[in-house]
Amino acid sequence: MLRSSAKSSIQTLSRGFLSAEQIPSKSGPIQFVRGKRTKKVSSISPQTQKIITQLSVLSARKKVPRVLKLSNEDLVRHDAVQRAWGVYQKDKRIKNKSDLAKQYEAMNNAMTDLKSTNRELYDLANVREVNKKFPLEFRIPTHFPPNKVWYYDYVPKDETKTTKEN
Amino acid sequence: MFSQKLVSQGNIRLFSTSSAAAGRVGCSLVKPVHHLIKIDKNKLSPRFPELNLEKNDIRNPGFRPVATHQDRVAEHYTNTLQSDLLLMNFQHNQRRKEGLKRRQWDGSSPNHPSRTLRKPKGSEVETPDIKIYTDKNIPIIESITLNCYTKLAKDNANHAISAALQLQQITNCKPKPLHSRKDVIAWGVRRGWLMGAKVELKGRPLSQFLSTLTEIVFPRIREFKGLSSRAGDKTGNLSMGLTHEEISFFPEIESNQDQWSKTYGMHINIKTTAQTDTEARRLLSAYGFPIHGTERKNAF
Amino acid sequence: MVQSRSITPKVKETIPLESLRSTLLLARNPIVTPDLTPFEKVYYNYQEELERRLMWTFPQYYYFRKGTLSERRFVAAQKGPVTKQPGVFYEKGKPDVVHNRERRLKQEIVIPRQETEEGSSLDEINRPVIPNSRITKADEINDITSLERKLPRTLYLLIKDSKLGWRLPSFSIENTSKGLNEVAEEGLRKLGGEAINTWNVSNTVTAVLKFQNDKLVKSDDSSSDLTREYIIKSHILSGSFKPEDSNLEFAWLSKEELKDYVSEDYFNATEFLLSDI
Repeated sequence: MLRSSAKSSIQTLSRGFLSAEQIPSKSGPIQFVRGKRTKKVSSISPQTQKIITQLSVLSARKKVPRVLKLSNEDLVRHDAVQRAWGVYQKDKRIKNKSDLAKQYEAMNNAMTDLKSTNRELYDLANVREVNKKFPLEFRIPTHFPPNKVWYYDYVPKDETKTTKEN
Repeated sequence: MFSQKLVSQGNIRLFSTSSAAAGRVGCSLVKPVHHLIKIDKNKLSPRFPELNLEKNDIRNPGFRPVATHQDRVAEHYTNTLQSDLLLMNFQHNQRRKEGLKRRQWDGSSPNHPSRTLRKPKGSEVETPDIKIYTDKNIPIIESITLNCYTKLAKDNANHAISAALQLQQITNCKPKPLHSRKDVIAWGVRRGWLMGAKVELKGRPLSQFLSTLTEIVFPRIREFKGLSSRAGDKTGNLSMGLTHEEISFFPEIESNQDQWSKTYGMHINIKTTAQTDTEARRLLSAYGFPIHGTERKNAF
Repeated sequence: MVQSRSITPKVKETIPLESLRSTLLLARNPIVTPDLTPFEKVYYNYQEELERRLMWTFPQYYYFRKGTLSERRFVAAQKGPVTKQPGVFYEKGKPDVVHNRERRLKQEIVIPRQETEEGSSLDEINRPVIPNSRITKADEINDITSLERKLPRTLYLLIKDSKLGWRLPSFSIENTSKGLNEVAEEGLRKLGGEAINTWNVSNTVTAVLKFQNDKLVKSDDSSSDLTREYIIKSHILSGSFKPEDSNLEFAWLSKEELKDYVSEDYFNATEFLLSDI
C-alpha cells in the first residue's frame, strides 16, 4: 500500500493520514486552563475515518473469540458425531452414484434396443439437442412454499409459433 | 576417473577442484533437492502442536465448522438436476472427439525436425478431447471466483480496501488482495499496486451466493438478457460481469446504503467441470441463469 | 452421433410398430427443501452453535455510527456481558470481555424493534415474518390427484389402466415421423387436456420395459413377441393433468407410495429412475 514516489500525485492511505493530520505548532507558552479539553479533537478526515472503520471490519483484531478447549470426553463425543456424519454422507453418496450408474446403463441399453427395433425412431432419439436448456420455471426448492403453491392457469402457446427445438 | 567412480558407486556429491583443473565442469551430476523442497519451519516447532493438526480437527485453532445448515442448492443438484443432466448429455454410440492438437511440419525445411510442432488448426493452443458423457462426468459447478479489480484504486488505494469489504459483505468470506501484475503505462498502473480484491467461493458460500444472484439480483436488473451464448473459455468455464449499479441490488449492500455510496463492479468467473461451454451453460440454466442467443452449431 | 446413420444401411423392419410404446415419466419437482432427518437436524444445530461460538465479534461500529440514535437503540437492546470486577468470585469462570463481547461464549445479538406509530408503513415492514406451512390442505385430506401434496418430494404421474392396473402413462406409436418424446407429449395432452406445461428432458429414452403377454420380462430378453415401452422423462412446470374422461383414475405419487400402487416387478424395473427425494 505504501507507494514511495514523492513526486507522484498518487494519494496513499499512509499519506492520507499525514496530510490530514495537521500537526499543531508547539510555539508559544503553555497555559493550563481548567475544564479545557486537553484531548486533541480528531483531525482525521471523514474519508480516512471511513477507511479505518472498513479496515477494522475486515481485520480480526479484537474480534476473535477464545480458542475452543474441549475436555477429553467432549473430544470423543465430537469425534463420534463427526464420524457418524461422515458415514451418513458416504452412504448417501454411494446410493446416489449407484442410481446414476444404473440410469446410465439403462439408457444405454434402451437405446441399443431401440436401434435394433426401429431405426427411424432411434435416429430421432439420438439427435443432439444443442440448444436444449433448463426452463426458467425450474426453481431451487425453498424452505417454505410460496403464497401460490402451484400455477394452474397455464394457457398453451399457439402451436404454429412453437418451433421444434434443435 | 576417481570421482566418476565414486559417483557411480553411491551417488555422493563431490565438488572436486581437480576436476575443474581437468577441464570438467565443477558441478554435481546429482540434482540438488534442497532448493525444491520447501520446509515450513513452524511445523517443526514443538510449541503449538495443535497447529499441525488437520484444519477440520476441532483442536486446531483454525477450525471452522462446515455443514452448519441445509444446503438447498447442492441438494437440488443431487436430487433433481444430476440425473436430468446425465440424460441430456447422453448420446448413444458417442465417440471420443479429439481436440485440436499441434501438427507435424511437412518436412520441407531441414530445420523442421528441431522446430517445435506447428500450431493447431484454427487455434493458438491445444484443446482437450471431448470424452464420452457418462455417469462419471456429469458437470457440476466447482467454484465461483469473484474478481473485483477497480481502476479507481490506481489513484487512491483506499478504493481497494472498500472493494475488499464489499466482497466480504456480499459473500461472507475473507477476500484476498489483488495486485496489478505489470506496469501498464496506458492505464497508469505499476506492478505491485493494490488494485482490488478477489474471493473464491466453494461449498455452502457458493450455494448462498448463487441463490442470491439468481433469486434476488438478476430479477432486479433492468433489461437483463443473461449470459451470452458466446461467452466462455471453450473448456466449460464461464464468466460474466456486474456493474457497480447492479452490485447495489445485493441485499447486504442495499440495506446499508449510507455506507455504500460508492460500489464497485466485479467479474464472476464460474468454474465448472463441463467439457464444453454449451454444457456449462446448460448446467447454469438449471440454477435460473437466463441465457440469450443460440449455441454454435458444432458446440458438442 | 448422427453420422452413424449414413454409415450403416437401413435395417429391414422386422418388429411391428404396434409392439412399441412410448411411456412418459412425468415428474413434479419438489417445491420445498427435503425434510430433515432427526440426525441432520441435531447435527446442523450442533455445527451452527459451534460456528456462532467461533464467530468474530459483531462490528457494531460499522452498522451503527457512533453518536446516532440507532446506535443508542441498538446498544440499549443488547444484553451486556458480565464484566470482571476485582475481588469477585465468578462461578462460571472469569469473564474475558473485549469490545463488549464475552470471548468464551457465542455472541448474542438482539435486533431492536423499531418503535413506530400505529398504522404507519413501517409497521408493515416490521411485522414478523410468518412462513407458509409446508403441509398443505391436500396433505391433510391426502388428495392424491393434487399437485400441492407432499411439497418436499418429487411426485410422479400414474394412471390406472383398466386391464393392467396402475402404471406410468403409455402411448402407442402410429408412425415413425415423430420421435418418441413427441408421441409421449402429445399423448399426455390427449389424455389430460392441453392446459399442461411440461418440459421434456431429452429426446433420448431413459429406459425400456419389456413385456411378454402383459407380464414384465428382463430387459435383456430378446424374444420376438415382446411389447416394448420406452420411457421418456419429463417435468411438469405449470397447469395440471385433467383427464377428459372422468372415469380415468390418476395419481401423483412419491416413490414410496408408488411402491404400493404398482406391481413389485414394475416397481423394481423403474425404481432407479425415481428420485428418493
